[in-house]
This record gives sequence, structure tokens and C-alpha cells, in this order.
Amino acid sequence: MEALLQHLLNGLVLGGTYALLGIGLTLIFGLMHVVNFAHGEFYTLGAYLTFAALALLGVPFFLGLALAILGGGLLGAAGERVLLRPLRGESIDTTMLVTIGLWIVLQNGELLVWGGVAKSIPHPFPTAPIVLGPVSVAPLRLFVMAAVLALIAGAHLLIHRTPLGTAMRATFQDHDTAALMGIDTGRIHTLTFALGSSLAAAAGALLGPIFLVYPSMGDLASLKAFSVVILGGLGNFAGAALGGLLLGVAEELGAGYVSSGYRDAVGFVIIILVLLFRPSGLFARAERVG
Amino acid sequence: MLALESVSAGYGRLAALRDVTLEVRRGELVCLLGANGAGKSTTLKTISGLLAPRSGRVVFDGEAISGLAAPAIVRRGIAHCPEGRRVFPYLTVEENLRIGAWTRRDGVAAELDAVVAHFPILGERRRQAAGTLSGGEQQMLAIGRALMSRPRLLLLDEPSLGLAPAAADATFRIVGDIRDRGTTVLMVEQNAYAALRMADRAYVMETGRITLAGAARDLLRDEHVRRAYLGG
Ligand SMILES: Nc1ncnc2c1ncn2[C@@H]1O[C@H](COP(=O)(O)OP(=O)(O)OP(=O)(O)O)[C@@H](O)[C@H]1O
Ligand SMILES: [Mg+2]
Repeated sequence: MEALLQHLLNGLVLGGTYALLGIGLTLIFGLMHVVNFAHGEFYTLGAYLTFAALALLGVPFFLGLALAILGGGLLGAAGERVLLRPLRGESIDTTMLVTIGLWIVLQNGELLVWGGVAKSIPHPFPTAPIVLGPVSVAPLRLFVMAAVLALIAGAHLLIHRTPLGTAMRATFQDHDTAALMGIDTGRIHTLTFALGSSLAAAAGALLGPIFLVYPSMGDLASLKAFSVVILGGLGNFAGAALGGLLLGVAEELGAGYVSSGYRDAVGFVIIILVLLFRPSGLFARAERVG
Repeated sequence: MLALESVSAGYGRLAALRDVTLEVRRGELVCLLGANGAGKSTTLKTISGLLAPRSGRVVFDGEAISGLAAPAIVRRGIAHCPEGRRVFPYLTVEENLRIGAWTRRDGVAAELDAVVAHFPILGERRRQAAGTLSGGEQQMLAIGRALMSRPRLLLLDEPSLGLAPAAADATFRIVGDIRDRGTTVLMVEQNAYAALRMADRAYVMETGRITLAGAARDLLRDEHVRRAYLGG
């Protein structure tokens, strides 16, 4: 029983970051229809920017995280503006090739700049775990969980409760009509991609201090993000949030009760089952964003 | 107020408009008639900036607006209520209305109240997804949404399309009200009889060209119009 609670708690920490990755990708893939193979690279970028800010520049921890999230958003905006905007209206395959190119360039760029040796990010939290009844949790993990919840809530409010969010949803529901309303749809594309990328960067910035940071860490993150989007249903915000948490918990249980070597396999078994039995996602009935 | 000067436009290699010249004066209700595929919607899209003309000019308030993008044209005071209503199905009724006022910073709440006062059903359905409204309600929403930008010129593309007779009549009454309250209207309609009865002037389009123009009451009596568009 105690072990179960402990696994659930760990699963929520991991799942929260999967949710951030998945929400980011459901905006980019589900709404914008860009099959973004470089999504995980924004996760890597978030982790390395945090490392650079904290370990090299000595910036305070929270400011470092904020800068990493902002950096992910800015690079996302630039990537959309420079690489994808000229391809608007081209087939999904063409943009896919471009994002594969971006993936390769970014990953090798990280390797060139940082080298292949994994880095660890310093953080100000005490390492002694906090004991909460039957379970114990490192203060850093508790902070990550709170930050993830705040970011998910913030993204939700932005998309569902602000004029900008309404314009995003309108744009991806009906492009021409959104333009007729006076919405600069090109700008909405850039902002949406930037938001999605910054959420991936946030996941990297938050998980970075828990695990290690290395150039190819984004590959698995991309895979998880696509899994979460499939689980939640394309373009479904709540689905991505729940799908991420579910995947994290399932992996943690699999690792705990089967074998830690099977951690990633558990996730893929779930994805295969979902694709076989509920191909439009576990939460297909929930409201779509656009 | 609005003038098209020898406008040609098309899609890819297809020429949909050839040398279209027409004019809408301040305060008028002008209607554009024509068979399916004549180029009526294309004309409206060329005015609102969804399509750039290949040649010719669109002039609004004395300035050329052809070549401007759609958002810039809404800001100048032209709202386009597109064919098939095109409400945003997953947005609520209120969100649809608010997005209509995207180009405005102030007076949005007052405008929302005014539109809801005009279309009480939209007030009742405020929090409902627009995709769940009936066709007639969606048409009210599409028109209300277009009004939210406080346009000086309203382009309406087949507002009665697919509506039951009662809903179509209600829609025409609303269009009349809008004109009476001072908004200039250019309306495309298949229901030529209803449109000509309320319009000041009308143009008839065939295969991308304007073939006839005149006062609406004269066109109602015109032999060709009667045969082609009024069923005898
Ligand atoms: N998006 C498009 N791509 C290619 N061709 C188009 C497009 N839209 C319209 N056309 C063509 O342009 C011509 C004019 O179409 P348009 O929609 O302006 O006609 P319309 O007069 O509005 O007809 P309807 O009464 O059926 O709405 C038609 O031949 C049509 O097939
Ligand atoms: Mg048409």
C-alpha cells in the first residue's frame, strides 16, 4: 500500500511534465497540424538554458527557469516564422521534413555546444525528503509538481479565458473567417507555436534538475509527447493534461511492479491498446480546443 | 462609398471575375444576383481581402483597398458575413460575438448588449457552443458577429441560404433594420424576389461579368430578370 502511494506520487511528478509536453504538442500538432519532430528539442533546450543560467551565469533558480521557458518560446516563434510560415498551405509531409531537419540541427547543435557528457543542474532545495504519512518526497519534486500545475492552469486560462486564446481557437477552427474578424492569423500561428514550444521547454527546465541533462534527451521526450497527444485525442487540451498524468503514473507503476527496464514499454503498450480500441483518443468526447 | 473598377480575379488558372465594375453608395442596400457559380461570393471575397484582384481596383471611401489583407480591411469598416454562416462551432455564442469585435478596443461590452438586445435568442444561448445552434440561429449569430465590428459597410453572402421560410423572412427583416439604422449593405441573394423588394439597386452577374444593373424596382419588372431569376 505504501509502495503504491509512493509510485503514484512519483508518477504524478513525471506525468505532470509529460502533460506539459503533450499540451505543447497538442497545440502544434493537433491544432496547427505540424508534425513537429523537433518538439523534444525544445525540452532539451529548456534544460540546457536552465543549466546555463544557473551553473554558468549564477542566475537565481526561479529566474533561471523563467528565462528557459521564455527562451523556448522565442526559439519556437523564430522557427515558426522562418521555417514554417513560408510553407503554410503545403502538405503535412513537407513540414514534417522541415521539422525533422530542425530536430537534427538542434540536437547536433546541443552536442556541439555542450558536448556529450551529461550535466546536472544545481538547485536550492534541501535534499532530505519530506515525509508525508506513508510516503516521502523530495522538496524539489514537490516544487516541480506545483510548478507543473500552475503552468497547466495558466495555459488553460490563456487558451480558454483570454481574447488571445479565443482568437487562437477561432483561427484553427476556420482560418478565413478568423481573418475576416480582423485576426492576424499569421501572428496567431507564430504565437501558438511559441506557446507549445515554451511548454516543452518548461518541462525540460523542471525535469532537468531532477534527472541529468544530455543532448539526446529530447528524443524520448518527443516520443512521450506524441504518445500523450494520441492518448488525449488531437487538439484536446484536457485530454493531453490527463493523458500525460496517466502515462506518467502507468510508467511508474510498470517500473515499480514489473521491472524498471520496462518503464518505457508500459507507455507504448498503452498507446498500442488505445490506437487499437479508441483510435480517436481516450478522451475523445471532451471538448476540443479547435 | 465602395467602388469596384474593372476588377478581375480568380482561383489558380480559373478566371472567376472578369472586368467587374460596380458601386455602392452610402446608406444604400444593394443586391447582387446571379446563378450558382456566377462569381457573387468571389466578388465579396475580393472586396474583403480574402482574395486579391488580378487587375482593377477596389476603392473604399476614396482609397484603394485592393491588395490589403483581410484584417486591414475590417479595420477600415467593412465586415463580411460569409456564405454558409461560418460561425466558429466550438466557440460559445458569446465568444463568437466577442471575436467579431477583435479589431476594437473599447465599447465592446456596449456593442454586445446592443446585439443581444437585437437578437434575444443569442442572449439566451450565450454559453452554448455555436455549432449546436439551429441554422436560423447561426445566421443571426453570423450577422450579429459581423455587426460587432461596427462596420460602415456590411457584406452579406446569401443570408437566407438553407433557412426555412419563416427564418428567411426574419433574416430579411433584420437586414432591412440594419440598413434603416444607417449601415450600408451589399447583399448576395438567391431569393431574388425578396432581395429586389427591399434593395435600392441591384446588379446581375453571369459567368463572372456584370450583365445588368439598375434600380431594384426596375429589375423586378425586367423581362430577362423575371425569366431567369423570378421564375416567370
Ligand atoms: N476556392 C475556390 N477554388 C477554386 N475555384 C473556386 C473557389 N471558389 C469558387 N470557385 C469557382 O469560382 C467560380 C465562382 O464561384 P463563386 O463562389 O463566386 O460563385 P457564386 O456566384 O457565389 O455561386 P453560389 O451561388 O453557388 O454561391 C465558380 O466557377 C467556382 O467553381
Ligand atoms: Mg456564393
